[in-house]
Amino acid sequence: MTAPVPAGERTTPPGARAAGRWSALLRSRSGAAGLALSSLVVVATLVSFAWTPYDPSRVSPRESWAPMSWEHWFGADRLGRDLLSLVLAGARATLLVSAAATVVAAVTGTLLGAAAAITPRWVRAPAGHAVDALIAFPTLLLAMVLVAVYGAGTETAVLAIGLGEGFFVARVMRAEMARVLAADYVLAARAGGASTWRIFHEHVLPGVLPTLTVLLSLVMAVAVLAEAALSYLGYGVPSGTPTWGRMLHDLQAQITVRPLVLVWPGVAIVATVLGFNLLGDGLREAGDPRVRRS
Amino acid sequence: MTLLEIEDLTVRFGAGPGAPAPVVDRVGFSLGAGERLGLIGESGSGKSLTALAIAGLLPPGATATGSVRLSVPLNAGIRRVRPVPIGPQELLGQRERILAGLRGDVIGFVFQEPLTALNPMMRVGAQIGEPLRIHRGHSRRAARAAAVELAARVGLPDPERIVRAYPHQLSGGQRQRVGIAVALACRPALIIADEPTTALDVTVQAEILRLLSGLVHEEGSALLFISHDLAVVAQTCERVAVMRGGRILEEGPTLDVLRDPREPYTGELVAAARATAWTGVRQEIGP
Repeated sequence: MTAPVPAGERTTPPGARAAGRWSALLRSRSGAAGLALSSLVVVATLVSFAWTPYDPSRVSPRESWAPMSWEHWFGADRLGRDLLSLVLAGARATLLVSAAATVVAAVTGTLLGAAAAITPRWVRAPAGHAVDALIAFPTLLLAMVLVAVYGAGTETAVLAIGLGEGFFVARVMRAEMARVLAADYVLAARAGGASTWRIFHEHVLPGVLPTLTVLLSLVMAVAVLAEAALSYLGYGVPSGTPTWGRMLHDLQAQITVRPLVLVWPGVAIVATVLGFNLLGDGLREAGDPRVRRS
Repeated sequence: MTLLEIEDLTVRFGAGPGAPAPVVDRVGFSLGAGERLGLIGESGSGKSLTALAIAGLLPPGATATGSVRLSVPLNAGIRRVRPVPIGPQELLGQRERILAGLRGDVIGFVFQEPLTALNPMMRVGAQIGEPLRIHRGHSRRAARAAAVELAARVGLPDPERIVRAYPHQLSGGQRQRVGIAVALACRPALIIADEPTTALDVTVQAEILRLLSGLVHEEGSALLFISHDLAVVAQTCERVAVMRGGRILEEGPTLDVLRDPREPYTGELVAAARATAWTGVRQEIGP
């Protein structure tokens, strides 16, 4: 049917849709809070590139365990390094590793999940078993294998965490995609002549996106902690680089003597994790027309 | 001209000696261009699977044997994105690419439950325009413009606004109008409607039925109308086939079958229909 565009007919301008999403995100309470919190973390990280109160690696034995003061807002550690500077500088590696690992997990999880849910049976069945086997493979062991092959480093940490979490994401994605594929509207789309590829990107991906968003915000949170664990074992970020995980590890012996020093990296982790979780929740709400407040 | 010819269509789940009895058993009927055939039977009689088998949409695990021949008409002046072979051809065992090219273009489907048959995350207009994007290569903009026209044709109020709505914002009757618009988008030669009014309340049922009948008539499409409701079929179709247990018990002009059923089962159906909505139906079918 060749339908001429009726005069005066205005289709939605390209910007309006995106603007609708943004205002929907801001209207949802968790979206607004998450956006505020995660922006704060991102801004603090960006600031650390240009400015920190002290050089985070400046050692000053005289100021060992200096208490909170105007000179050292968060106090100082055993070597007299300024804790505020360390927390700010630590955000860089922590955010980089967790964000990159989340991207790796998203890509791995979606591709593997799709391979195990949508492809012809001779691909689908082995892919499904592979996902089941891989999910049982501990992230730590994966990290050790990768370290043995590529050596320790930031990339190794990203890959190990990203892949490990990616298998978990794949398991959920497989089930979610199978749920969407069984829906009547997918049959209706096939009855309309849609190809498998079209069904995948027009129906399946949008259908699993809400779940994926929430899942990835969890993965991001886990990645912050996993980075700490890997750094602790010496598999992650090089030892000179401050990270929140390493700070927690270095300071944990002080918990009974100076509990306050542990609060700062802890608060930073909580703020980041909470921020991204709330943001994920808000994005899910904003992306779903059925729960969006308009 | 015969548009669709089905012979010995058998659908079964599983294969081998231990497999259960076929759910569709040696079904055969034919449908001329512009003709309307009602396929009637209780749930589990195999009528929906017959419809799905025609378009190669059987669920995984089900296999079809026999013959489904469709005469693909040459629609002059229509640009097909995926070229399909013209003329009579066997659909069973046909490659998926070709079947996908026919579905939505030559064969339009209307489903039973309009709420679940529409994607809740997609605007109504995008769904109406999807077959045009697939088969006619319409741009997003052109498909949306066509969707507004189609929405108007199926009697949706304020089509410009309604194409931007999501399915959950519409009433059941409006959703089924959307479903009909999707099926009609590419002006298919054959429309298969699987219980299109079952999920609606009675007043809306009559409206949708009238709409579907009218549009099929205007378009000159053939209609395969599947229902468990004899009264509904009698209003819509000039011929009727009665199915039970996967077989066609009898087939003929609707009036003959209703007035003089050869099978006791058809007699029961007629009696049941008479007991419920018969008075209205008699006026509808006329002499």
